[in-house]
Amino acid sequence: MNRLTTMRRSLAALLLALALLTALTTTATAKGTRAAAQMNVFAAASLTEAFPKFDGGQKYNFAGSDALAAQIRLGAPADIFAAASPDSPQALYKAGLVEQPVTFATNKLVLAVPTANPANITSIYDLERPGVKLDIGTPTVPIGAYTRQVLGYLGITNAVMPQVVSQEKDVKAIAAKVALGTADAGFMYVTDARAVSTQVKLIPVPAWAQPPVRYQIAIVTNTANHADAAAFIKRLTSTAGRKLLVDNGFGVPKLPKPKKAKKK
Amino acid sequence: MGQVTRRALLARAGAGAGAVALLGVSAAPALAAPGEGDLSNVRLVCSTKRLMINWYTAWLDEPKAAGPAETQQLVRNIRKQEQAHYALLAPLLGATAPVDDDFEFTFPPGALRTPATAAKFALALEYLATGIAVGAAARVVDGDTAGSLTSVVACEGQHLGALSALGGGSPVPTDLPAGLDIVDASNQLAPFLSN
Repeated sequence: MNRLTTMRRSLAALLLALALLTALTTTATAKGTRAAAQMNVFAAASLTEAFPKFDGGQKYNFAGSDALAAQIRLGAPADIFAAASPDSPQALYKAGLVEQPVTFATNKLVLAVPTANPANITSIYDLERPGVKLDIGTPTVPIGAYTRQVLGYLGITNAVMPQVVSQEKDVKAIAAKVALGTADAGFMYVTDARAVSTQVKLIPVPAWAQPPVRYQIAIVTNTANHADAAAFIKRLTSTAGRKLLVDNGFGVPKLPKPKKAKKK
Repeated sequence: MGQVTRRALLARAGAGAGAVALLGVSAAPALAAPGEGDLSNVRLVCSTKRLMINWYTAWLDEPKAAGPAETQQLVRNIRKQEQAHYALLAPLLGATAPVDDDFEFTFPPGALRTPATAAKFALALEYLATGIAVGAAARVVDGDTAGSLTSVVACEGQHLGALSALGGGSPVPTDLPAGLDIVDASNQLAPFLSN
């Protein structure tokens, strides 16, 4: 009898311990390892290679920044918007559709020609030669707007624009056409040229003619994942995030210089 | 490009010209509306001015290179002229005028090792800046813009003389600085000016 009672008590204690352990484990899972919701990140086409490396757990929608902004205006379910220029994020911010955008990356324009270089282009000024087939972005997509700025800064708009044979909705389409040799040359970001580096040769745009290419990112106002979106942006602008961007060919905004201590 | 009213342009150009006049040279105020090609040349020269201003600041900030008080004063005076040139030309470009944040400035290792190495590099850089300004002045179509660039060239000549003398050479160098075409100018700037 005593033996049976002891066994029963031991079994009860074991069950109680198991129940407690289960309860504790469940609580820990709920509090400590809550899986972040997968977010919809609307990002400029030029971020196609970099963003999945930065965070492979999100659902990405890559396209021209102006097209993405239009989708957000129409109520597309985005949590984050990352654009290749401040124009669209600032316009959406003014409309109350995104929170205050922050600059997180910079980029540079290059002129790319197919490796075979059938038009024998060795300088940007060769684009003025009649017969050259140039591919650029549409005026509303950032790469197209920046390209027009470069041509203006170089003073060759009137001579070069007649050479344009195609205008693309995003920079990836320009890179693909130049890589395939459909166009003799195309303006793209240096980061997109990296993606087709075996198929193109690059001609630099002089530093003095480069427009300031600034990428901005913002949380979409009506997101249901605000905390996760804020964490994404915080990581992207952290030291590790900046390093990943640089490793992928982007520049990063200059950090403010530390103030010098005043002499007493 | 940002819109600049004629009144604002007049005021800015007048202020810039005044600054240059104070330094002992005359400057034709840039009043007309230069075309895209002219503005391209102005942008090239303005970017070069940012490089020069940053170089002279780096020189003055480096104790090993700064040299005696009279050298420092000379460098300050040259930098003041470079700033006046930028102030004269940049308003023509409006809101898109190049600023320091647009660039990375790189100077050769050792250029700031001693006052002598600094003077030698400064002279080389001034020859480049002079070639760029001469080339730009020769290419522009608008008369007022050409006048402003010619004033800049005159000052660059003063810099060449002063820096040549500082390095132990003649204050009146005998060589004739040649104008650089826009491709050569870009290529020669590239080691010092990037984004």
